[in-house]
Amino acid sequence: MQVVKEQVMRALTTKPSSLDQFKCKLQNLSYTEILKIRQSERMNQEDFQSRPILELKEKIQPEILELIKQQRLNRLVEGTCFRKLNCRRRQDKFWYCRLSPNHKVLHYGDLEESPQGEVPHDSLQDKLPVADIKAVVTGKDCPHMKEKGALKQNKEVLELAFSILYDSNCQLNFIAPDKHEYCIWTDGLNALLGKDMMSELTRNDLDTLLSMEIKLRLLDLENIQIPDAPPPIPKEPSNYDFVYDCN
Amino acid sequence: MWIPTEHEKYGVVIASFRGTVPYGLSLEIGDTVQILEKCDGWYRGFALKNPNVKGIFPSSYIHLKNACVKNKGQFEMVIPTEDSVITEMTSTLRDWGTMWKQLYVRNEGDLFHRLWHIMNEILDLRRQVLVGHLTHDRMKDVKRHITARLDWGNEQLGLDLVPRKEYAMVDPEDISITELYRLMEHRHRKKDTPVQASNHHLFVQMKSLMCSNLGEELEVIFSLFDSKENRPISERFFLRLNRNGLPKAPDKPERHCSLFVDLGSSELRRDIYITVHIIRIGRMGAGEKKNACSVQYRRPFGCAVLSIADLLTGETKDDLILKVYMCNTESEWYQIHENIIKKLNARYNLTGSNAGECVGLADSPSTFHFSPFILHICVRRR
Repeated sequence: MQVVKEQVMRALTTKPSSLDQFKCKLQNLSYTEILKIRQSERMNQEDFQSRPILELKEKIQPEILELIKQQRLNRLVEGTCFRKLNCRRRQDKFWYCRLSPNHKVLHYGDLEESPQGEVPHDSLQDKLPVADIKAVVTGKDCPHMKEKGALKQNKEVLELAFSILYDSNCQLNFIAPDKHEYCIWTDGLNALLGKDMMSELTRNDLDTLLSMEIKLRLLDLENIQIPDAPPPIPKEPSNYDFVYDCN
Repeated sequence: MWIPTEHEKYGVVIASFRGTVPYGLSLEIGDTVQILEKCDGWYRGFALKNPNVKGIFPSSYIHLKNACVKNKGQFEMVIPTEDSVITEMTSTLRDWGTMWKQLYVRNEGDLFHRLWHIMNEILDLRRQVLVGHLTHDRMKDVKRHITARLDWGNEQLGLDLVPRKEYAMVDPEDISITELYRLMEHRHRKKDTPVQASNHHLFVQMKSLMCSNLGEELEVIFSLFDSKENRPISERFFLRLNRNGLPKAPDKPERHCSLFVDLGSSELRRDIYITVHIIRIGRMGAGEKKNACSVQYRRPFGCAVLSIADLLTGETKDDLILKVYMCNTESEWYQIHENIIKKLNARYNLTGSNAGECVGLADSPSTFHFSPFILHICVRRR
C-alpha cells in the first residue's frame, strides 16, 4: 500500500497534464523503479550534516585521532625498508628504520638486500633517541633535497622525501617507497613529537573511521527526525524521591 | 511525584544531554535508554550501554519506542519490539565496530577494508528493512542477505556463530538441545533444504502394574531402544512402585509421567521400541518364603517392549497394556529386551511364559507437539 501511495505521489509531482500521461507515468514507476529511487535517496542521506551530528562528530574525533596515532606508531615499530640515495646515481642499496617498542628510540642500519619481512632491532647498528629529535621536515625543506640539485627536478621523489633534524646539526634523510609509507612515517614522527598528524592519509582514515562510528551510534535513530536545536530543558523536578532507589 | 512508567519504557536519545542537574544522567545522541519512572517532564532511567549509572533526563530528549517488559519492577528487562533481525544487526554492528577499530590499530588492513565494505552493506540493508515497506519476497531476500553477511563477519572476526531459524536468532529459552543441534548440523552441511520442523514428543504415564503374586516393591525403568543399532537412544525414566503395583506418591501424579522429547520423524520407525525393565526389591528368589533375613535384594523381574510404530498405528487413545515377560534366565537379563524384540519379529519364543502381568501405559500420540517448555517442568519436578 505504501508503495502504491508513493508511486502516485511521485507520478503527481511531475505534474502530468492529462490523465493518460499520469497513467503512463505510473506504469513507468514500477516497484523496482521505486526501489532504485529509494536507494539513491538513501545514498544522499549518507552525509550527516545537521548540527547535533556535527557536535557529536567533534566529540568523537579525539578518540579516533588517538586510534590513528596508535596505528601509526605501531607501523613505525614494525619499521620500513628505505632506499638509499647516492650522490651520483641511485644504487639499489637499502636501509631499515624502526621504532623501539617503548617508542623511545629509532633504530636504523644499512642492509645489503631488500629484507624479507621485519628486521630485528638488535641487527640495526645505529640508534637515535626520540628525545633528541628537533624537527621533522618534508619535501623541499629537506636538507638532502636542497643539496642535490638534480633530484630537485624529480617531483615524485620530492613528494616522498622527509628528514629528521636532531642534535645541533645532524639529520636523517628518508625517501619513502610510496605515498602511503610517506604518510605513515610523517604522521608517526609528528605523533612522537606531540604534533598534529597532517597527512592526507590521516584525513582519509579519520573520515572512514568517524563516519562509521557515527553511523553505528545513530543506528537506533534510523527514521527518526533529529531536532536541529536541543529541546528546552524543563524545570527541575520538584523532588527527588525516586520510586526505585538503587543508588 | 515520581511514578513508575507504564508504557514509556524504552527510547532513543535525540539530542545530547549533559546531565548538569542534580541526579542528571549525561546522554549522547543515539544512545538508547531504559526508563524506570517519570515526574514533571523528566524521566529517570539509564543508558543501555551502561546500566549501572542511573539518573534523570528530560523526556523531550527521548524518542520513545515500543518495547515489551519482562520481570516488571526494579529489575525489569526491556526488549524492543522490533524485528529481531534488526536488533541483532544493531548489536552485531556495534560489536564489530569496536573490533573493527582494533583491526585498524593492529594494521590488519585487508580485513579492515573488507569488513568496512560489509558493514556498509549491512547498514544499507538495515535501512532498507526499516524504511522499506518491502514486499514479502523482497524482505525475505534482504534478510537472507543480511544474515549471510552477519555470519560471514562473525566468522572472520572469530565470533560465535549465531544459530538462526527463519533468519531470526533462536531464543535459547525456547529451543531444545536437539533442535539446536539439528539447526547447526543443517547449517554445517550447507544444505538448502528446509529444516525438518516435525519434532515429536512421547508422553508416557505409568498407571499400574497388575500382577497376581507380588507383595514386593518394584522399580520400573522406561527407555527408548533402537533395535536396528542395538542401543538405547534416550535417557531412562525411573519409577518406583509399591507392593500393590501402583506408583508411589499417588498425590504427585506428575512423577508417574515422563516425556521423551524431540523424536524426529525418522525416529518413529518400526524398530524403535519403548522398553520397560522391572526390578523387584526383596527376597533373593522369586517364590521364596519370607525368612529372617531382612536384606533387600534388587532382583530382575521382567521386561516389556512396545514398538513405536505400533503405537502410532493403534489409533486408540485408551491406555495401552503391555505384556511383561518374566525373567527366568538371569544371565540374559542385560539383553532381555533385545531378545523380546527379536522374538516379536521372528516369532521365536525365548523368555518365560509367565505373561500374565500387565503394565498399564497411558500414551497419547495425538499430543505429540508439545512445546519444549513442558519438558522443563517435567525435568525439574523429577
